[in-house]
Amino acid sequence: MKNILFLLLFGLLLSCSNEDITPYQREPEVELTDEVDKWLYENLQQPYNCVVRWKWDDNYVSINYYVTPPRKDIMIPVGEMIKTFWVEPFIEAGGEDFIIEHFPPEIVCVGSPLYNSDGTITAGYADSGVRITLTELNNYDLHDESWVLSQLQTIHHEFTHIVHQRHGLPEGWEVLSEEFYTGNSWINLEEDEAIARGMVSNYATSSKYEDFADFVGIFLTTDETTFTSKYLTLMDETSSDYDGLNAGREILLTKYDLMINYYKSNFGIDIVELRDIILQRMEDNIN
Amino acid sequence: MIKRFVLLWAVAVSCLLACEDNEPEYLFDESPETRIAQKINEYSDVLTAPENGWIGYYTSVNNVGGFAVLLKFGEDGNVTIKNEAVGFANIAEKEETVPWRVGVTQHPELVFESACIFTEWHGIAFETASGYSMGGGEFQFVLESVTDDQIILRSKTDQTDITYLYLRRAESTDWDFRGMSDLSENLINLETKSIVVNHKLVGDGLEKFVEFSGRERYLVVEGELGEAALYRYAISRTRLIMLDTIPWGDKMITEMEYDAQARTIKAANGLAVQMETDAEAEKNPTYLSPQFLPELTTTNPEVLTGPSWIWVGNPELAKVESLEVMIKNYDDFYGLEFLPNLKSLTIMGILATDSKIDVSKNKKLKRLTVMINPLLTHITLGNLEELEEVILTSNPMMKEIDLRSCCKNLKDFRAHMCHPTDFSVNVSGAKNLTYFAAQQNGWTSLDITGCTALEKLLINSDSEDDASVDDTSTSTLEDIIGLDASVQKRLTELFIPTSAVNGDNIKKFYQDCKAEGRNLLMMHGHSLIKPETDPDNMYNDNTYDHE
Repeated sequence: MKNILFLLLFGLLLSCSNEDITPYQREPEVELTDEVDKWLYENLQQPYNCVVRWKWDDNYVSINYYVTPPRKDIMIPVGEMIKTFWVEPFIEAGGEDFIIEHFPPEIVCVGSPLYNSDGTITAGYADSGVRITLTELNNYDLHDESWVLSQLQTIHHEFTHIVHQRHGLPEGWEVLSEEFYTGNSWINLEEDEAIARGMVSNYATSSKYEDFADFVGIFLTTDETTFTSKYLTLMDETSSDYDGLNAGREILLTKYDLMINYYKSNFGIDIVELRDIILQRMEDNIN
Repeated sequence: MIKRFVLLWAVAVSCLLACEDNEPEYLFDESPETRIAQKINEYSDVLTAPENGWIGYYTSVNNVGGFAVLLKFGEDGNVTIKNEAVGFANIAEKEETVPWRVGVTQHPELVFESACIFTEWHGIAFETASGYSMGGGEFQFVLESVTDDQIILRSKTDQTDITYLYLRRAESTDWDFRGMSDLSENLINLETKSIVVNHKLVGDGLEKFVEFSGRERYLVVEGELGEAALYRYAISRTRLIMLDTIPWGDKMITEMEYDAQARTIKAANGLAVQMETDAEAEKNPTYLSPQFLPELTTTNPEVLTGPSWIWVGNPELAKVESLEVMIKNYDDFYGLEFLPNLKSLTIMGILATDSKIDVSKNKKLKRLTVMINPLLTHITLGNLEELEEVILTSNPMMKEIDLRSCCKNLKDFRAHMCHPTDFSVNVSGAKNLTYFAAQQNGWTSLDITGCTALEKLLINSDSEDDASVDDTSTSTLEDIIGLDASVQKRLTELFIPTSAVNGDNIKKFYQDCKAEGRNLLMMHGHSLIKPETDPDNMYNDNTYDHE
């Protein structure tokens, strides 16, 4: 009986041995012939391990959006913009390792706005710390200050999401305005109402994450005088011009310190210096 | 022996088990992956095969005709696209090269991978009843049918207005667009400009009303009386190619051509049919496309004939009782007369409008609201015996409103902020008028003769800045014609502009009321006048008594 069992087992083993296990072989890379693909590979994929998706693939954008792909002719300029206003300023501010470590593995490029079914527009978004989607790229014009500002705010806003999705928010951030987050009702708020709640924009009131991302995004793209006077300077409450927003500005001052410390202590980046580099580059390129 | 038999049996069973084939039985010779790859290669080969590429006529919506696109697919993954200009959308003729691929998601599909002519259609704003809709340009197409001579592409992402692009092999001459823009321009010049449908297709024993669009490349052709349908066309250098063939008796119109001498279009496939003007139609319309059609059909869709007409004989028109035309750019309101039972008409926020509105045929009209129409100069009222309420606000070019012919049932009149320099209102004879209010300067006259039911007559200046002082910067009312305490016996509230405090009729009305001891709330400007507290002076100058 033992022999029978042995033979049965032997037979079954035979039946499982007809497939060879071979180690994973990386598929050979296709030689790039397209000039845009080549440029993006050499300037962003090779050094920063980031694939720029510009040829349309609807797997990268939700079917709920009404969108178009980007123009081919603007893709190298868009890549230059990413380098000039995003990668290089971080490197110049001492954050080369930070950029290599945190730069998103994927940037998805969309030509049009992301039209939602309710008629609103989504400016851009970050997915799970790995992908940033940039929109309205077909309006590329480095001399159009409002377009550039909108793009850079989106880039730095979404990149901030990538950072906090990995490292969390600055300690103490989420309790500062926790009773003031409004979810989707942000659209009904005026900017002053947001400042009164200790946030830099009405969109920032939608959640603690948007609060942080918008704070950094707006900080990095706003000149010091404007940012300080609008968000950080307490007004004389006896003045006839007093706008009643000091309580919010006190919260914003605390958030400002938390942001400075977050980038300095975690990544060794002086975010004020980073802001100055970005603004200088904006001035040099836009005008 | 038995033991050996059992052993052999066990070996046999285990071997049988080892040989059991759990794999599915393939119906085809290749795996699905291989077959899909083969299909993709096969489609790609068909696309890249023609020496001169493919030609089709693209439109992103089914109520606009086609515009030529030529496609030369390259094996390097790029396609050269040449497109005809799309004048109505300000899209220029051009040639461009973009990446393409054939892939498979749910269906085999052709994707133009970066922005190109198809995505430009995406940015077009098409006017709709509720505003504008986006262009629906498609850059991902399902490969519906692929043969060596024809490819049928279906828009992939459209949920409702699904469009098709038919591609045929192009000739080298198809890439030459010379002459197309001239033909296109000639066709645009043929466009029907009248609100009345005043053209017909005539020939081969038939006559059908037709509306022709040169810009958006369609014809709307009458079917049976009260029916119409839209037929799209594209153009070559010499012809109109009907994307939807027009039935004509027992024949079909498949192509048309432009007749430069007669300045019209005619069938080009052996039928003696051409488009002609019908002069009689202007005098006696059968179909029309009023500018308020979107608003009308939003609430009364059944009045529509075909995509854009009203048939004047449609019994559904008699069911329309209300029409609101708001915030639009109109220059003609013709067509109101075909709404015989219209009871309420609101015309509001028209930025550029016909200088006149004629509602004299709307005999059932009860309520007329005309607000914020900067260019409106006149309303023709006629004899509207059922009119009860008139509201006029901010129509600065309108100087006169004479309601004498339609005052039988008029109960309520309001005119605010019209700001003309010589505004006059005549409601004399309005025996049922109980409420009259106007807040504005610039009066020439107000006649309320015979308004015996009037209870409130409230005339303020248009000053809103100072609660106690009238704006006297422009001429204001100095007296009210027909104001008489023996006629307006029910009048208990009388507000007059400060400029009118010395008007003879007004002073007499005040004195008569005081003599009768009538309870009258009277103000000039923002000052209260009380006969019982004004024993010595003509009027006191008390500020408004908030009690």
